[in-house]
Formats: sequence, structure tokens, C-alpha cells
Amino acid sequence: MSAIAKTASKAKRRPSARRRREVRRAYLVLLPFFIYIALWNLVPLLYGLYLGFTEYNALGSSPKWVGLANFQTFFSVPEYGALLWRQIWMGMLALLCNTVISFLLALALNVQSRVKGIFRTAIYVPNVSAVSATTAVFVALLNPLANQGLNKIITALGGTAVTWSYSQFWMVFWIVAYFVWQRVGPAAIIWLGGLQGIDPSLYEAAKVDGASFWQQVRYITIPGLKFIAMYILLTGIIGAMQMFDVVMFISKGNPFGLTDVLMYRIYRDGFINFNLGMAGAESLVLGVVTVLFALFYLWLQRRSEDE
Amino acid sequence: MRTTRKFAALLVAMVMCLALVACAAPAKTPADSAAPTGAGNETEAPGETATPQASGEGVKLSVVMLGYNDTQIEAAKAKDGGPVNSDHYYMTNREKAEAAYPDIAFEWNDWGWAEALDQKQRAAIAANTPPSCIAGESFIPTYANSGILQEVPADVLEGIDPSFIAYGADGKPYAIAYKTSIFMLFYNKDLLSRAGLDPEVAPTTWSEWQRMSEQITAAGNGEYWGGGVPSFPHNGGALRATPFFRQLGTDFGGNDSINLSDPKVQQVLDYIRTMDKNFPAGLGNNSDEGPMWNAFEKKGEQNLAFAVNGTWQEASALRNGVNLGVAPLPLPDEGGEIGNCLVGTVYIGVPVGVSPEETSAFWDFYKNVCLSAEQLQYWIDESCVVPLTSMIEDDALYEGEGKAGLRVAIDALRAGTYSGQASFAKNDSQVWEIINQQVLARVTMTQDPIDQICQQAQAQIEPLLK
Repeated sequence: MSAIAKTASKAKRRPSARRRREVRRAYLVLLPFFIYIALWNLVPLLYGLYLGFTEYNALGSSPKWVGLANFQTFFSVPEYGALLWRQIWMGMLALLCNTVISFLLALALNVQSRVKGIFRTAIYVPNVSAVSATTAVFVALLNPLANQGLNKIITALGGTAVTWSYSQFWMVFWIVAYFVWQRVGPAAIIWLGGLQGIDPSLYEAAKVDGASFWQQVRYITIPGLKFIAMYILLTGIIGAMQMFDVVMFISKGNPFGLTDVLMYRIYRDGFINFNLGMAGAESLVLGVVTVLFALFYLWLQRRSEDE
Repeated sequence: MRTTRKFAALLVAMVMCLALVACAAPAKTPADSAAPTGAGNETEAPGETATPQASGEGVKLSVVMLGYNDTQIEAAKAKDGGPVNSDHYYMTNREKAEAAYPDIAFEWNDWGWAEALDQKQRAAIAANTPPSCIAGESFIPTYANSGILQEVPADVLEGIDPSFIAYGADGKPYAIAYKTSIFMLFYNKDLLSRAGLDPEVAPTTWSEWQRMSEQITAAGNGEYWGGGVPSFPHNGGALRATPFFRQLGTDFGGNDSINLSDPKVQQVLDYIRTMDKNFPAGLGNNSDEGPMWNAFEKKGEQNLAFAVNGTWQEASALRNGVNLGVAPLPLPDEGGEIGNCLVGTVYIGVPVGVSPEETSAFWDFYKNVCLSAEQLQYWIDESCVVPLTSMIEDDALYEGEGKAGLRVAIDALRAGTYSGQASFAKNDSQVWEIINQQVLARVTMTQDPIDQICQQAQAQIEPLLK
């Protein structure tokens, strides 16, 4: 290669001065947002991590460095392990139900109908309603008296009133039911966007070949929604591992702690008990577990793509 | 290039301005923390016709739970039937303070109650910008023992009943309550009559109460119930159970010890379990207290004969037309003593970090306005007990219609000194949560052996206290 050609090739690889200026300008435009994120997300995140290694009750004295003592407590007290495990299984149960139901709803909404706009709005509305207000309705429905709430209907139909709050099964059921009712809308709309992005000619060709509806779903729809599924599941895992408001408002961890989850414990340790050191340590453990779940899911995804 | 530089300079200037504004909050220095507690605060004894000292020029008082802000006043005026007595207390506190202290700038904060208030106060303390006073109930001992409260000046304590003073572990007074209540037994006379019981005879012992409650539940046959000791899985449960423990000379514990292995504790828990059968299932231990109070007093319901509640229940039940009876809590059949627990107490203290001028001005205002007999009368009319010994001793204040509960409370207060719920030196909320959920609620929700329940909870709590 001649010297001239080499120089030309180098010049091609190096961005021009104008390009560099544009990049700098773009970063300058983004700078306020970086600062905003650093101030409101990064600094509190790092401070929260730091608190995990301290003892601090937000009164008087400054955080006192205690090293790994909070983590030692976390791993030596069986209660914390039980809370983490409950966070995982209750969160994953809620996520599974939400994913399946939202997918089925998206399939239903993907048909041509004059009233589909109303249905789309209806399933989205719970997501923009205040959790505190809508959970209050759920709690009122779960009144244990025979002549109140759902029990009124059950007894009118000849059944026996249910003491919902005594049963772990029923409290988990209502937590999951509320979680799905509240979050199914956005997931269904995302699924729907994915469904509408699939080339219709594929379905037409499948029909010509005699494929049934479920075969079309199995061989065209599901593979076509791989990336949408990845987004929904990944954000869903993170959401499920942070599930606490529903627990707080519906069961408060009852009956006697059997529906309590780690995220609700973190909230209570942090803002009710003011054991901010322990809350920081618990947050770090939960964060690490969430990241591990997300990485495991991504690994599974990549492996299925390679195959 | 020049445009980029200009743009960058503008951005840097904006960021610096933002940073300056953000950091400009008036911070109090630790030097202020060593504030003397009311030195030179020459005020009159509370309860007398107080003449507030028109001092404090240039001082700003930022207060909590002592006066309404404009929004709260509007909300009180918009109530059906207009403001109630408690509203009048907060509204007139403000009016009187602003008239008596024209040189002081008052800030009337609405920071909520319980956890919300605790969170806001701790945030202010952590930011080194505490309000002029802090308020609270169950968390006040934690504040006092954390060294963030100033000692109450001796002259402010004059004429105050000791039950209303919050002491720290060091025995020093750190806060004074302007109102409180104790628990008593309220009953619906109509339901007693319907069950064939004499409506004028209240139970005096545990076994009498159990017998009467069971008779009412049996007669009600699913339509009305006798009721028992609430075991809500939150502090409302522990608070109402505490008097029964104290009647046997025991308690859940306190400071650095937990007492669930005490046979007397287990005896009370057994009684609570027995009495819970006289509630409809799920009512006595519901995480929402609302259905229980509705069952006792709401028009159209009123199907619960007995309720253990604070004195405020009287005014509320009478407003709802309950044919109400009030009695002291029944005592154990053998070996019992009168015991109770303060509830609905609003303690007020001054945090460390408030300047001497502000501290002095605050105690002057609190003593001469908020603790004046005229203002405290609003709380008596709301069926609450007030701290002035002169008012506690004045029989005339507790006579007449709707004062039966208050008379019971005053008699109890005259007979002894009461304290609030016990507090634990470490992880107080977490310990109470275990007691409420894993002990009280579990005792009534399951048939698990009580000694096993207590043993498991004791094992969970002990590491939290170390």
C-alpha cells in the first residue's frame, strides 16, 4: 500500500474536526441530564451502598462504620433469607401471571373491532390510578364480615364467608391479582405493538399452508416477539424484585408475616425503624440478586439464539 | 468553536447557580446545639391566667402539631357541622399566639402523625435544620435516648402531672404532652339488654367479662357479638393488650429485654385468645381497625357489645347514637392490680440545635398558650385527659352528660401514674412488629401452642436487642 493510500485510510478512520465538535456539542447538550442523573440517582445509590456498612438512625450522630456487621446479620438471621425467598417466588409468580395474561389480552386486542379502543383504554386505566386508592378498594372487598365486601356476594350465593386475612394462600392470591390487574395494561400494549410489527404476509402464507390459529401463534407470533418478550421479562424481573407497595397496602405482610417480602422489610427498616444501615445492606443484597437474575435471563436468551 | 465555548460557559454558569441555590438552605451549626434549656425564661406557672411574654423579636418559630396552617383551617371549617373541639384547639392556639407574640414569625407545619411525622422530623434533624419543636408519641423515648432533645426547663414542668412527662433513660424530662388518654371498656347497653343482661352492670373481672361476652355472642347468633381484646397486627393491638399485661404486673418487656417467656404474659395471651372467639372471625385481628370501630359505633351496624378504646371513643359513639356504657377495664380474678397504658398522647419537646432565643420563645408560647387551662378545655370537651394538675383535681370539669369515660380516666389518673407503651433500646419498631404480628395476631389467628409462639418470637427478638 502506498504512503498516500495509508494516510487516506487513517484520515477515514479518524473523525474530522467538525465531527468531533458535533460530538462535543452533543455531550454538552446531554450534560445537564448527566448531572441530574448523578445528583438524583448515582449519589443516593452510592450513599445507600455506603450506609450498608454503617450503623445510622438519622438522629444526631453521623453514620458509624461497622464494616460487614449488617451483612453478617442478614446472613445469620433466618428471617431475612425467608423474606428474600418470598420476594423471589411471589414476585416471579406475579410476573408469570402478568406476562401470560397480558400476552393473551394483546392477542385479543389485535383483532379488528370497532370497540377495541375502549378495551385498550380500559385495561390501561388501572396503571394510571393511584395504588393507595385502588388497594383501599381491594382491602374493603376483603372485609371478613359475612355481610360486607366479597363475602356478601359469597354468602348471598349460599357459600360460607372467608376470613381472607387468616390465609397465606388468599393473601398471596389477592396480591398477585392486584399486581396483574394494575400492570397488565402496559405489558399488553407493548405486546400489541410487537404483534402489529409482524409481517401479515407470514400469516397469509401460513393460512395457505393450512396452519391453525395456535400453530400461527407458535411458529410466527412467538418467534416474532422474541425481543419484545425480552424487554417485558427483563423489566418485569426488576419490577417483581422491587414489589412492595402492593404487599404494604393489601396484606401488610400478614397473616403473621407469611406474605412479607424483603423489599417491604427494607422500607420498614429504612423509614419506620430507621435502621438505615441494615436497610442499606438489604438493598445491596437484593440489588445483587436482581442483577444475577437479569444476567441469568440474558444468558438463557443468548444461548437460545445461538442454538 | 466560539458558539460551543459560549454554550459551555452558559451551562457551567447554570450548574453553578443551581448548586449555589441548592446549598443555600440555612444550616444550624453544631455550636447551636449546646443551647441552654430555657434559661431566663421567666414565665408563669401553667394553668394560671397566663400573660405571654411579648418577647422574641426577630425569632421565627417553626412548630409541629400545635397549630393549623391555612389549608388545615379551611379543611376544618369545611367539615359537616363545622370544626370539632380538637380543631378549635389548634385554630385558637394559632390565633392567640399570633396576637400575643407579634414579633415572632410562626410557621405552622402539617407534618402528619405517626410514621409520616417521624420521617419528616428525622429528615429535618439529619439535615441539621430541626423545627423549633418536635412532636410524637411512641418514638419520643427513642428521640430522648438518642440525645437529640433538650431537657425541659423546670419552670415549664411546674403544675404538670408526671404521667404527661416523657423521661429519658437518664431520668431527665425531655417532653411534655398536652393531651392523652387511657384505655377503658365501652359497651353498648342495648346489646346487653338484648342478650338478657343488666345494661347498667359492667363486668369488673376477666371472668365476668368473658361470661357476659360469650352470652351476648351466643344470643346474637351471628347477628351481633360480645367482643374482646383487640389483637390488631400493628401497634393498635399491642397498645390495647398492654393494660391487661400490666394488670398482672408484667409487660412485653422494655429497654434491652424481652419478656415473652414470662408465664404471666402467656396467661394474658391465653385470655386474649379466649376472648377473640367473641369477635366475628377476622375482626379483632384485622390489619385495618376500621371494621371493628364501625361494628361498635357506626349507625346501621352497632353489632359489637364491648370495645376497648381510649376516652375519645365516648364522644364519637355518642355522636353516632350508641346507648353507651363506660367502665374501667376488668381486672384479673386473682392477683391483679389496676394497670393501664397511655394512648393518643401528643408529646412536645425541643430538639438540640434550636437556638437559645428560639428555645426560650418556644417554651414561653407552649406554656402560656398551648398549656393554658382555657385551651386545654377543648381537649376535655373532646373526652381527653390534660396535663395540668389543677384541672385533673377539679371535679366540676368531669360532671355532666358525655363525661362518664373521662371520669373513669381521671379517677385512674388520680390513683396512680401511667406510662405509654414500653420502648426498646434497639430496633424498637422491628421488635414491636414481631410482637404484633408473630405473637398477638398469631395467637388469635391460629391454635398454635402459646408457649411455642412466644418461644419463637423471643428467639427472633433477642438478637435485635443486642
